[in-house]
Amino acid sequence: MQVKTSLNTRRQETLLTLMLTSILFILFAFSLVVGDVNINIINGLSDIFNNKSTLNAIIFEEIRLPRTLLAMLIGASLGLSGAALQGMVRNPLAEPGVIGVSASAALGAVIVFYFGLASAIPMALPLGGIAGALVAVLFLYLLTKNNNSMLTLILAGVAVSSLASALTALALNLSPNPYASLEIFFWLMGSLADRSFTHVWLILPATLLGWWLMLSTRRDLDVLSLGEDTAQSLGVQLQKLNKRIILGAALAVGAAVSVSGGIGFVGLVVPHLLRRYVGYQPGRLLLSSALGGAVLLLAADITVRLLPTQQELKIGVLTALLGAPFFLHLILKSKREWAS
Amino acid sequence: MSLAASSINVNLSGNVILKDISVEFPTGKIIGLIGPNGAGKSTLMRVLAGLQMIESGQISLNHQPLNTFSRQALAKEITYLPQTGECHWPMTVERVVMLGRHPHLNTHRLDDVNIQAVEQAIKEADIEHLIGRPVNELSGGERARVMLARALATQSNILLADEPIVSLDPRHQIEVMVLLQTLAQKGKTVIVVLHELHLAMRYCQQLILLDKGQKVSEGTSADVLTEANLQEIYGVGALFGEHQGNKWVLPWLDNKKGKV
Repeated sequence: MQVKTSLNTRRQETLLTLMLTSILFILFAFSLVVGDVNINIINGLSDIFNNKSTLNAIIFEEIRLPRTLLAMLIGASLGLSGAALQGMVRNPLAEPGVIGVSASAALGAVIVFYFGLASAIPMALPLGGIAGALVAVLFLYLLTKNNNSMLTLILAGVAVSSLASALTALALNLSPNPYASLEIFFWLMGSLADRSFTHVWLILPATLLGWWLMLSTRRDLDVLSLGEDTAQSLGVQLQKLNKRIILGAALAVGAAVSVSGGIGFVGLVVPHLLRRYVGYQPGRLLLSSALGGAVLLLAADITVRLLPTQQELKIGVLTALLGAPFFLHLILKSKREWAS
Repeated sequence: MSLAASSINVNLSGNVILKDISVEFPTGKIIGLIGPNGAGKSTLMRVLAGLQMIESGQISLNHQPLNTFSRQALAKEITYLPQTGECHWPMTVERVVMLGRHPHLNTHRLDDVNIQAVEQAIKEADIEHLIGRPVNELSGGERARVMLARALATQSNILLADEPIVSLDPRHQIEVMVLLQTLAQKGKTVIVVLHELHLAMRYCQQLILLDKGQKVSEGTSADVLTEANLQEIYGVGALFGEHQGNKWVLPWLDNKKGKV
């Protein structure tokens, strides 16, 4: 019997992890070199170590490195959250953007902006995003608790997104300062430009905690594929599992959106592309999706920097342009499941 | 491992589903739960698996209340095989069976002991030829056998199987019953919901007949599967016979209404 070889497909998975890690490493290096200004990385690095504030060192340390790190952190959060949410509701269409979590997180951050809390207490920004995300994930969970059909999920997402967008629009509408409105509007489109290390430190704790919460459910998520009754009879504590994923996704996505604005579809595309390489096991998919998300978002960010547009294309616009048709394709492919 | 339930009452949205059910399940036997649709068989199985809230009563495992066990400790002792063999992702057969080892594992990595348990379960459920196939592409009967293998892989002492043979062909129905018999002979407790009365008669050492949430009869097949019980509870007549020392029963309803 070939069960042994087939179950220990670790080689394929190790290969996948290695591949994604090396691509990420190459993109990381590339991302430090690409930009409007040509800087010499070697000189920049040596200037930093010698504490010399040359132009090379400043561009490297204050612009490109934080931007690259943020792309990786946020991409990983989005990929991982997508995979974890899909495992929890057992539906491949669950994704922070599609189900309205990103929009709610954005609303939370906009409220913080609106009341001027962001400048007073920097921590308020990620906290606002996390609170917004939490409300949306809880709503999604309650709605799909007894019915995880595609239709319920999509409709719930439409409802949450619409409400969050409407409230965001209301805030912009009532804003006394048109320039502030414009700024928020651009921020909502999703971008990683002009971010600093402050942003990295701001979201790092919540992000890491969210990752840990989601990754800790990886073995239980596999069993959940067999339904809630079977999973519980196999020893899964369902309440604990759901709490960890809801809180984990809210922390990671909320923190990410509060810094980058709305970046959609990463959590949809990445798990979908990688699922077959991990034997369709939702638990095994988590780590690869985090790596894949980081790769995808970093690649997208390098692309918007390289595109010869007058004004830099917002990364959220790029992922939406590529992701929305992909989403449509996914729906058409699983059309027969709509009946159920 | 002895499993017992005493004075179990379950209500669901105002309807009485189980009423004052007390049963003991001796080890080393196949105990059949039978009864018409809606009798409460599946609910009783969920109660025994610790998955169903009860109004009153107590379930005990080894003379200890079931709710004093943690989920993981319980998972090593009691395996529950539900009626619906759902699997939400197109995983391959061997990966689904492997999930049965979950209570014994702490990592994703499988050692030889665990792989052996998976291989044995696959052999016992006669699904060796299905290895490598995505489980969502299998027929209903094949899928039921994969889920049975998943349950066997846990190697627990108590197996609760809710209609495990309902979608199988006659040969596999008999083979699965023989397999359950072997497990019981090895000292395991097998509790199985059945609609196939002829197989219940042939393979179950003890039968419990439920109707409208109540236990109406209990004992050997000769005690329970009587003409009177079949007429009263199922509303059918029955033909009885004997072949090579084994008794058989065939539920029968004449074309003329109600007469046998």
